[in-house]
This record gives sequence, C-alpha cells and structure tokens, in this order.
Amino acid sequence: MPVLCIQGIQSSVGSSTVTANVARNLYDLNQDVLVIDLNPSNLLRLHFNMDWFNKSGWALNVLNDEAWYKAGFKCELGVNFIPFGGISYDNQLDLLEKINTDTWLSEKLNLAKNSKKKWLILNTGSELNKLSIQALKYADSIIRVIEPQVISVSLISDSIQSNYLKNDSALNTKCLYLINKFMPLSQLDHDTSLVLKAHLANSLIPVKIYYDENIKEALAQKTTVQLYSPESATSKQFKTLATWIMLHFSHKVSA
Amino acid sequence: MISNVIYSTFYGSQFNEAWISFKKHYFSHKPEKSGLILGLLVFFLLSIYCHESKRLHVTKSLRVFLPQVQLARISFLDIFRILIQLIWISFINQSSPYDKLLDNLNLINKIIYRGFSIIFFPFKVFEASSGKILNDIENSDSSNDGQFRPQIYLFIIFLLAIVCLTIPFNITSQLIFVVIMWIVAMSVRKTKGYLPKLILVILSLTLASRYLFWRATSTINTDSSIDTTFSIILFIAEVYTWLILLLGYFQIAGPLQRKAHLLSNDISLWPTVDIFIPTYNEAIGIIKTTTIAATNIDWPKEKINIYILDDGNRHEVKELAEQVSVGYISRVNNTHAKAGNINNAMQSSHGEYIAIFDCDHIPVRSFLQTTMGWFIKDKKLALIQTPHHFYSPDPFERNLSNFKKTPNENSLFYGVIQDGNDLWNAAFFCGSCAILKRKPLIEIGGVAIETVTEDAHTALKLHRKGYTSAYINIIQAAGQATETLSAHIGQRIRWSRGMAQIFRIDNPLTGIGLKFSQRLCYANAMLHFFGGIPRLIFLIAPLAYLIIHAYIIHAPTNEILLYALPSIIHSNLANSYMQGKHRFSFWAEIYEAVLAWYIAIPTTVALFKPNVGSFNVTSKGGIIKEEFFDLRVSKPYLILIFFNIVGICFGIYRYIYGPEYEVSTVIINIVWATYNLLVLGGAISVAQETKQLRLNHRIDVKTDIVIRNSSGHLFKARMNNYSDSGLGVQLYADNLNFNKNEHIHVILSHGNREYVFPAVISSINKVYMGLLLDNLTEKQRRDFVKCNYSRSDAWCSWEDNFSIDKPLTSLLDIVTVGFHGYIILARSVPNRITKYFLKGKKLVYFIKTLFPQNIY
Repeated sequence: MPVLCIQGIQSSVGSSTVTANVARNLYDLNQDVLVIDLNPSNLLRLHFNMDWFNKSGWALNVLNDEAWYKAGFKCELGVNFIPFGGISYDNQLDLLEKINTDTWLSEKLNLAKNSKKKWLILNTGSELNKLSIQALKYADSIIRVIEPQVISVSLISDSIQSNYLKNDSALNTKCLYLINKFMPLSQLDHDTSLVLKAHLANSLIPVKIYYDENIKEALAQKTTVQLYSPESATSKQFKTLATWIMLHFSHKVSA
Repeated sequence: MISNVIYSTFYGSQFNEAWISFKKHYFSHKPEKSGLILGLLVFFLLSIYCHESKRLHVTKSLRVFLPQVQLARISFLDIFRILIQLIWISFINQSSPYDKLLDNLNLINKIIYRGFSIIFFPFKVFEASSGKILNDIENSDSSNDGQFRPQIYLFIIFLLAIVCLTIPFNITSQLIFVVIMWIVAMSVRKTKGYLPKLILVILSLTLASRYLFWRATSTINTDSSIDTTFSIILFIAEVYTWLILLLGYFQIAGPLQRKAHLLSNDISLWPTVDIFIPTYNEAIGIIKTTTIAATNIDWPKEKINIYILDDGNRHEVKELAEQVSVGYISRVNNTHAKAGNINNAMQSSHGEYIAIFDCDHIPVRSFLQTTMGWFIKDKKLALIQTPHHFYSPDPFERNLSNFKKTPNENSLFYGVIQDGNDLWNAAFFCGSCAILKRKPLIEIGGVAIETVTEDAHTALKLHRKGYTSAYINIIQAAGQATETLSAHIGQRIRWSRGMAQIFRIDNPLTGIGLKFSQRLCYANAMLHFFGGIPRLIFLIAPLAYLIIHAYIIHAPTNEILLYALPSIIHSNLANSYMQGKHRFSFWAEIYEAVLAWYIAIPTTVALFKPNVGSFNVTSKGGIIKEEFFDLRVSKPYLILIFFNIVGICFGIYRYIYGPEYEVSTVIINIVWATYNLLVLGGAISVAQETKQLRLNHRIDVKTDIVIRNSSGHLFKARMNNYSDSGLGVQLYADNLNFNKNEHIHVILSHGNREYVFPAVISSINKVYMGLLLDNLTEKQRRDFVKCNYSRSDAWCSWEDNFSIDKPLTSLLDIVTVGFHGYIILARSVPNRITKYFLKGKKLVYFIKTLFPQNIY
C-alpha cells in the first residue's frame, strides 16, 4: 500500500486542495483511496461535501478515547476520508501530549493497511510537530506544494521545515515538489518556475497546477474541480498529476 | 406447459415494444394523413407476415425493409413501391427474408473467395518462396571477398541482353515469355529489398528495350510517305520515353537517404552562417513570418546573421528588418533577378556558409543543427539541399480535392529523385531551403546568372569544380504552394526554359569535371523537361489512324498488344515499387498532360535561342473568391479533346463500315483515344479553380492547449489548426459560456514552458471556436511563430497519412478524375443542353426508386 504525504511548504499554498483532487483522480483511476486529514485547520472535509457545522473528526475521537477510525466518512463518489475534527488550542496541546511514542501514528495507521490496492494519503499541516513529523516519516513519498513565488525560492533553501527535511537523508530522498497556483499570464511566475526548476531538478514534478477560478468555485460548491468543471484545464492537470503519481509509485515498487 | 407460458409473455412484450418504437419513430414526426394510414398498414402487414424473432427488429427499422420509400411523407406512388417491395421480399422469403438472402449472399461470396484463392494459390507460393530466396541472397552478401569486377559482369550482362532483346519470337513464344516475366514480377513485388527492385527494373528494361527493338526492326511503315512520317515521329517519341525511363531507373536506383550528422559538442567549433531571405514583391506578412522563424533558428547568436535581400527596395521591408533586428540589403538595379540579388548580398556579408530561404519558406528551429554536421564531416561539400514542403494545397491538390491523400507532384522529386541523385553525388540546388559554402561559391563566380534557373546551374558549376553536394530528406522548412493553375504553369515554364538553356549553353554531357553518373543525372533532369512534345504526340497518335487512316504501327494487333502492354505494365510495376508513397501510378499522366502544351514551346525555343526570355516571379498565397473555370489555360486541352472525340466518331464509323480485318486495329485506337480523353478530362478538372478564401492558409495540427477566459477560468482545449493570424480550437464541452468577440487568452506549451497570447473569439459553433490573435506584441508574435511554425517536428508526420501505391486503385482514381472533367464541361455549356442532361439524370434516379432493392 503506497502512503503519500502532502504538505504545503507554508500555509495556504493549497495542499488540502491538491490532496482532495489527487485522491479523487486516483479513485477515478480505479484505485481504492483513504485520505486522512492530519492538518489541524480541518479544511479537507470541505472538499468532500461534509456538512459545514459537523465538527467531528479523528482528533476528537482520540481525545474522547474512542476508536479514531470511527470518524471516517465515505463521500458519495467513493473516496474514503477521515476529517481532523474541530478542536481548540487546549485540545491540540492535549493531543500532542498523547503522542508519547515515536510509533504512535504508525501503530494507528497500520490498522488501515489491509489492502494492497489501497492508497493512503495524508494531508499534514506545514507546521512541524510530533504529529506531522511522524506522518512525514511514515510516508513513502512526500509531495511538498509550492507556489511559484520569490519567497518559495527562499523557503525551499532555508526554512525550519526545509532544513529538517534536508538534514534527514531518508526524508530528503522522499521529497517531491509540486508547483501550484501558477499564473500563466504572469511573467514573474514563468521566471520563478524556471528558477525553481533549476534548484529542484528532478525532484520537481513535471506537472504544474494553474491558478484557476474553477478551483475556487469548486470549493465554494464543496467539491473537487473534477466534478465541478471536468472541462477545466486544472481538472486535466490533476488527472495528469494522479497518473504521474501512479507511475512514479509503480516504478518505485518494481525498482 | 410452463415453457409455453414464458414464451407467450415474452412474445407479447416484444410485440408491445415493437409497437411503441414504431409509434415513436413514425408518429411523432407528424406524417401526412395518407402516410399515417399507409404506415399503419405496412406495420401490421409486416408484423403479421414476419417471423416473431424478427418482429421487433423489423418494426424498429422499417427503413431497412423499404429503403426506397420516405416513410415520413408517403405519397400515392409509394403504394406501388411498397407493393413491389413486399412481393420482392415474399418471393425470396420462405421463413424470414433476412436469413435466406444473407445465406445466399454468403454462399456466393464463399464460392468466389474459394475460386480466387485457388487461382492465386501458385502466386502466393511463388511470392513466399521468392521472398525467402531473395532475403537469403541479400543476407549472404557479406561473405563476398570484396573483389568485385564490374567489367566482367557487365560484359556477360551485355551479351545476355543482346540475345534477350533482339531474338525474334513468334506470337506463342512471345506470349509465354511475357507471362513468365509477369509471374516473376508479381512474385517479387511484395518483397522489400534491393534485389527485388533490381529484378523489377531489369524486367522492365528488358521488355521496354525489346519493344523498342521490335518497333525499330519490324513495325516502321514504309508504304507511303505520310505513313512513314507519322510512324517515325511516333517512334522518336517512344525512343525519348525509353531514354527517360532508362535514365530514371539509373537516377533512383539506390536513394541514399542520408541521415543528419551530429555536430561536435564544442560550440566554438561551429561555423558562422549567413541567412539570406531574398524577396521582390511578396506580401510583407509572408516575409515577416519567415524572418521571425529565421531568428528562432537554434545557433549561437554571434555566429548567425540574418539578411532580408530586398530587390523591390521597399520602405516597409526596411522597417520590418529594423523591427525584427535583422540585416537589410537592397540594391539600385535588379539585374539577374534572384541570382543577382544573392550575389550582391554576398559582397556585404561574411559568413562561411550561406543559407537561402525564399521569403515564403518558413524554416524550423533545428534547420542548421540538422544540416550543418555534414559540412564539418565532408570538407569538399559545397551544398546541402533540404526538401521544399508546402503546407497549402497546390492547384492539383486543391482542384482535385486530394490534399494530403495522394502525394503531390513535388513529392516524387524531393522524396525519391533528389535522394537518388545524392547517391551519385548529383543532388542539386533548388533555390531555397539550402545551404551553400561561401568559398566554392566565390570560386565559381557566385550564383549562376546565365539562365533563368540559377539554382540548378550553380550546382552544376560546383560539381564541375569537383565539389560535392548533399541532400537531407528531412522537412526543415515549409511554405505556401502556388495558388492557381496558371501560376503553377508559369513556374514550370520558367523551370523548363531554364533547364533547356543550361542544356544548350553548359551541356552536362560534355565539358570538364563531371563523373559519368553525374552527367546522366543532370541530363535526365534536363531532358525530362523536353517531354512536352512527345506527350502531345501520344495524345494525338491514335488520330493518325482514326482520322487520316495512316498506319503508324505496321503490325498485327495481337502482336502490338503482346509487345506494348507488358512493357507498360512492367514499367508501372517497377516505378510503383521504387516510388512507393511518393507518386501513385498513372498520376504522372495527368501532371504531364497539363504541362505538355505549355512547356513544349519554351523548351524548343530555348534550345535554339537560349538567351530569349526573362525571369518571372512565381506568385503565391493569394485568394480565389469565386469558383471559376480557367478557360484560357484549358484551351489546348479543349482542342485536343475535340480532336480525340472526332477521332472516336471516325473510329465508330470505321468499325461499322470498314473492312473486317481492320476491326481490331480500330478498337485498339478507340481505346487509346478514350484513355487520352480521360487524361485530358483530368486536366480539365484541374483547370476548374475552386474557392480559396483564406489569405493565410491554416495548418492542421492536433495539440492540447489551455484557454483562459476573461473571468479567470481556465479550460482545456485542442488546437486544430493555426495560421499567422489565428487558430481553430475545439473545446471539450459546449456549455462553457464563451461568447463571440470575447477577449480571451490562449496558453501554448513549448519545450518546458508556456506562452500566453491574447485573442478574440471571431466565431463560435458549439465546441468549435475560431480565434483571431489580438494585437500581439513583437515578442508575442515571435513566440507564436516559435510555438508553431518553428517546432522542429512541425512537418515530421506529414506523409504518414499516405498509403502505399495501389496501381489499380489509382487507375480508378484517374478514371474518376477524368470523368469529373467532363461533368465540369457539361456544366459550363449553355443551359439549354444541361437542362436536358439534368432531366435525364433525374429520370434515371426516379426509375431507380421503382426497382425493388436488396435488404441487408
């Protein structure tokens, strides 16, 4: 079972959107997909049409000593997902306290590892803490979402997150980079993309996700762009991305 | 008992379904009242009459049963049609009309197939075994010790050939000889390789030479002076054809198919190149695209200089040069046209190599990197030529509407002949899309100015100095074809005049410096243009007998057939084998017939007075607003058609009233004249100029692009075609809210980056949109050319669509094209006659509907 971890290089680069859309497209490619939201901002649920006021999620279950996986949902078109749950700051501290061993997350996630065809996609917050670090270590591949901006160039070469990943060679080799919110009309975006490409070389995924109104509208409809506007350019780009990821993993498995 | 119950419900429901589907089909469309009643009647008749299992099927598609009746609008006459059809069906039908009919058809089909396979079984065996043997021989070649002594072999072959060609046969032996030859040819035809090609060529040459020998020794009529004259004229035309056939085989015996040679990795070793774009009076838009594409060519910037060579001395061209920042060279007078223009520019430029593009040939970015490697490898190389490729249809393709289906006239020259020339180091300069080395060019005094075809003459001079030339058959530039037939003919007149001039003033057969093979290749290239008169002779030859009763071939009919037909068939087989997808059989007949009259005079004149005539610029890329028939151009064909028709009338008269022993001769000559009429009809079809409304021809592609609308939504789309000014786009859904005149952005990917172009929607029809590029900046215009015309693979897959030549199919095509010519003629005669013609056509169709029809 391939485990994919999707993390933004900073907050609000669109990692939840990427996670939701990749999951959808993998599902369309006849894959069994389980998505787990490890991001305390608890936004992934909105891409899967979960009720706006429903705050349930695995973190609440853990705090209430219930089985974490019972917080799971199956959205009407077949993707399985487990929302994080709406928690307060104090709750978050309690949760982090509960993570007392290095294998806390993997013990829990191993429960979900029962089928070969199944994909496990983890969406973690950009902040480093016990939870996100365990997720990064557990994953087979990490997709780091970046925006084609000047600060991204700075962030990939020097930030707490980047330095942590770079210093651990096991993690560093797992890293893939995805450019999101690329604006084709902006000359600067073209130039920054070329700089990023020069910096990242082969670890940059050869598919870009454009900045598209359709994505914003899709979220307003609480769904993925695939469903909202299948003719849109971004829906095609996510499809290409999902295919690329599948090929990437099958290559890794055979190697 | 139980099974019965199930069956009846099933049956009942089926009938119900049938009724519903019938109602849906024929009642929702508001038929006329009589139609409704009749429709009902037919439905019930068929339902009762038909086998249950077919009932649903039948009613669902009454049209299948009554193809000749328009069921939605049934008229009085349809009653008869329906009755006749019903009787027809029931006549054949025993259980169900389908099964019986299909069974019979299948049976007949099977019998025919069996018969064919039995007849062709020996051929299959021959084919398979000869294929195996030929392969074995070719593979065992490597075991030779390399001591090849051509003289001995040549001598033996010569002796054998003499025997083979001169020995007289009686009718039976000739028949056996011919059949054996044919079987051999048919057996090796399907095997690919050098040896089968050689066998086909040898067979063809043997039969052609034998024919010629027989003609010379036993068929020249010496009875009367008129007969003798005609007889000898025809014989000379035939000798010419034989010579061209022989030289042609030599020329394309082994196309070299040279590959690109890689340049060294060290860019500092790459030579300097000047790019010349000569122009005289062409539209500024055409020059602009070509110049921009030239600036996109991948080559170190400090080693490439681009010049526009303006012979028209136009201010706007100078402005363009400044805008695109390329050099501009003009001169006060324009003596010696293009050649003089280039020579003048050579004085103010200094690159080691000179690449020349006519201003309407747009180069791709890889042009220099594909070609220049050979200059580095071969120091004696003075010229590299690449194919001229046209992305718009030439007059033949446009007027016969076979663009991209049948290889065009050019295809043979650039696909086969130049590659063949290259083997003999005789590939010659074609004026554009080529690179010349400056030093040798200066040595021969610049581009040749003595004739109107400066290109071929320049190459000849280079070869005489011992320099080599190369041809790389990779399309690295593309341009617009000539727009009208008259312009096309004008261009060919220039070529033929120029070639005749060279033949006269600098004959390749004599003079210094050339190898024997080069002499032959050049001679063929030039002699080829003298084909006008022989072609005309063939077009009127049968008339000599039919009209003035002159015996031009003095031999019995069956003998003529046994000598002439095999020679024609074998030359077709061999040429079809060698020219493959570049020229389909029989098409040359039409190409040559169209030009014959027009090149006959200039070549003859140039042969005697080589200095007459001036350079004319071929006009390209115009528009044709209305479909019209070019009467001026087609006059010679009309005259020839007239005489051939008269000849056939005479022939019919002779058939009915002439002596019995002449009947077969009459028939042969009538068939020949009919064939000529078909070819001439083809020429007429070409002269019917179809509409051409776009100034910028759109080039078909299939590329995924992205479209961004004004509100920031991005949609995927497919680009179907592009031109200088716009593109055709196909969306993936028709509800995306694009509006006419909306300003949008088009995003094209090229290499590993994207380019954005503003555009306006000029037309929209469901998912298809026409976009016009909207005020591009200079940089965007450059990028647009880079993303499209300059792509190194832009023209790579162009010829993939062409299938392999099928001689019989192309014969059929020629016949169709020929007939079409007469339909065009019928349309342009006065209304009074066409009216009856059209009425007759209608009557035929009406009678046809009364007949019963087979249903499948």
